[in-house]
Amino acid sequence: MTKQAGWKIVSTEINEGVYLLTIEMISVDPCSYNEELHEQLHNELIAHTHRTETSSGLFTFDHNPTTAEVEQAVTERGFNPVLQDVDRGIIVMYGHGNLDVDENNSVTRKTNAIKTITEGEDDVLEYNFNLHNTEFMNLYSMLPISVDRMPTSMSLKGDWLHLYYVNAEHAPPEQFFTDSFFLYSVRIHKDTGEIKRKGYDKGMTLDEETVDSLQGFDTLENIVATGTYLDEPRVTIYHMKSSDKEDYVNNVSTVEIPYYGTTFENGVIVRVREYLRNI
Amino acid sequence: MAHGLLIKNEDNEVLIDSDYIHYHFLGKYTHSSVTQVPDVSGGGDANVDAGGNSPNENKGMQNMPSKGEIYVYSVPVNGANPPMCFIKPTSTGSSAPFTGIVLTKQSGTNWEIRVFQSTVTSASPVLYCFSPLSQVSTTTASGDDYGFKTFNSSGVVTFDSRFKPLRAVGGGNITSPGLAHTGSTGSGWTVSLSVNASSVSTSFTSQSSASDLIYYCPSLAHACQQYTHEEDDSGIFDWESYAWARGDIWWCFYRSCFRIASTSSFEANYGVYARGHIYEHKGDTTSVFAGLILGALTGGAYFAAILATLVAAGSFTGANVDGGNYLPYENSYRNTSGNAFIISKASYYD
Repeated sequence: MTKQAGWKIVSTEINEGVYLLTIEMISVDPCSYNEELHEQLHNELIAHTHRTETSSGLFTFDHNPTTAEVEQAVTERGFNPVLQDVDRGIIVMYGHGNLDVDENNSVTRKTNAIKTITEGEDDVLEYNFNLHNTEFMNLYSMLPISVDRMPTSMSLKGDWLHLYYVNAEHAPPEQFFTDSFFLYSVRIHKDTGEIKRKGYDKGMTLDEETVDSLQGFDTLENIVATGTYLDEPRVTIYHMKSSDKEDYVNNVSTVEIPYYGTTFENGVIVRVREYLRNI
Repeated sequence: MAHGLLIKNEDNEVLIDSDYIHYHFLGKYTHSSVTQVPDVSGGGDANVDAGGNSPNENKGMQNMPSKGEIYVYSVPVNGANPPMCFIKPTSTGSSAPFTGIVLTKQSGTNWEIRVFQSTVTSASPVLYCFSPLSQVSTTTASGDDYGFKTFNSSGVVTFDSRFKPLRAVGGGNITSPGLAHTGSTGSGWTVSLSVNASSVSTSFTSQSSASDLIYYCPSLAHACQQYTHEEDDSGIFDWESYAWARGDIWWCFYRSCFRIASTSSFEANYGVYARGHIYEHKGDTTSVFAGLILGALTGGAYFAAILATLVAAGSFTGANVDGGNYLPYENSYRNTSGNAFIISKASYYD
């Protein structure tokens, strides 16, 4: 299914001494993945693309052109066999997931953990089962209760173990949830086993009456997700740091672009957290 | 020439030949209707939001050049010889639209003439038509009993000065441009197929007033150019596998047409006679889909099938033009050279 970048002549006609060449030009994603990584990306549903663009156009010559002349003509027409970033709502390349690309367009997977910064609290790292298995298992071993489904990642904030469930089907971990959300988190007190739950939806899902009750809500812009607490009178609004292009958040799950989460309790802001990748 | 009459001018060009069936003024005609070839436009969408980055723009006729219009005339001349129709254009000069006869067809006791004009104007071209005397009303008015009349060897009248014989004041051959559009035909989902060829100019015997001139020059040349673009992608986005592909083809079918550029200059270029844009856009949230579609949206077979479907669906119903996809060939042109033209004056016949 992979297309080869380059151009090819798909038809040639000599009409009254003019050479009419219809040329197909193919531009492709230049990134290369080793087989193991690629399989891993698919198995773990890590975002990546295999984009190609193909155009055909008519070129005229007053003689039978050489390969070099055709090459020059397609280049002058703007053809680039390497796909450039195109703004179509997401970044075409490596815009999602923990991917990095080197100067040779070889893609590797970044392993930086998600970090949470909260004023007045220690910074917290979130460990992924696949990427940080040792740290993850250390936290997992601290659980005072058994869980039916292994979470995707975990962190420890104070005395609370946070379990995050991320899966392609958005299927709830039925031990804790009956309703469906985009993402799920479960907080379990490491000593008492008390459980508190939060479900995440994309965008803003609160009704107007609830929104009106949130203190300072009108200062929040570019909301990307809503976190609904199932066991507390709380809600968290996740929003971009600014309206600048570099702060645009495509995917709240992967935290490739830092963003904020503002939590309200009974309508009053109780904390603001910043989410980013640990450097 | 064993008998008869042959009159030549000082350049030894034949003006009157009694053996030749000369054309005489039939009448001056305005159009009965005006039409355009309907756009061939459409496509298929299936789960196009898969992946979140699937391109949805420009699925209609955005950025396509405007079409010219077709004036339909019905000339009452019952005979086997088609009338020779001169066009009195809506305007002359370097900004005037280009005009040419694209169809001459016998329809019952009339001849249907279709005149294509490169741009839409409020004014309309007028036809000055000529036919052999046998197809012209030769009723004479009282006192119309003088002049000059010739007969051929069979005794048939071939020229009669009382019935406004065709008077040519200039003429020649003109070659239309090859391609109607030169250079890039598009980028991404933005097509560029407007007529940008330089007009071809040729001269004729200088006359005193360009606006008085009428011309005979059937449209023979045509060009057809297209732009295709396809994008596809597959991978993982938002924790889901996805694949999508979109393939488009845009095309214009151009007809040659002409204008009086000055009192001594005749120009040829193209107008957009028909145009089309079809696409197919499919997406899915399984990676298996990628292998199924990525090879399917390219190539003539796919586009030919969807074109046939669109045309069969009756997109031309009521448009008073022949059905078809108006994509007769790809990226080429035909019949550009040796287009004869004749110049006359409207004032001779008004």
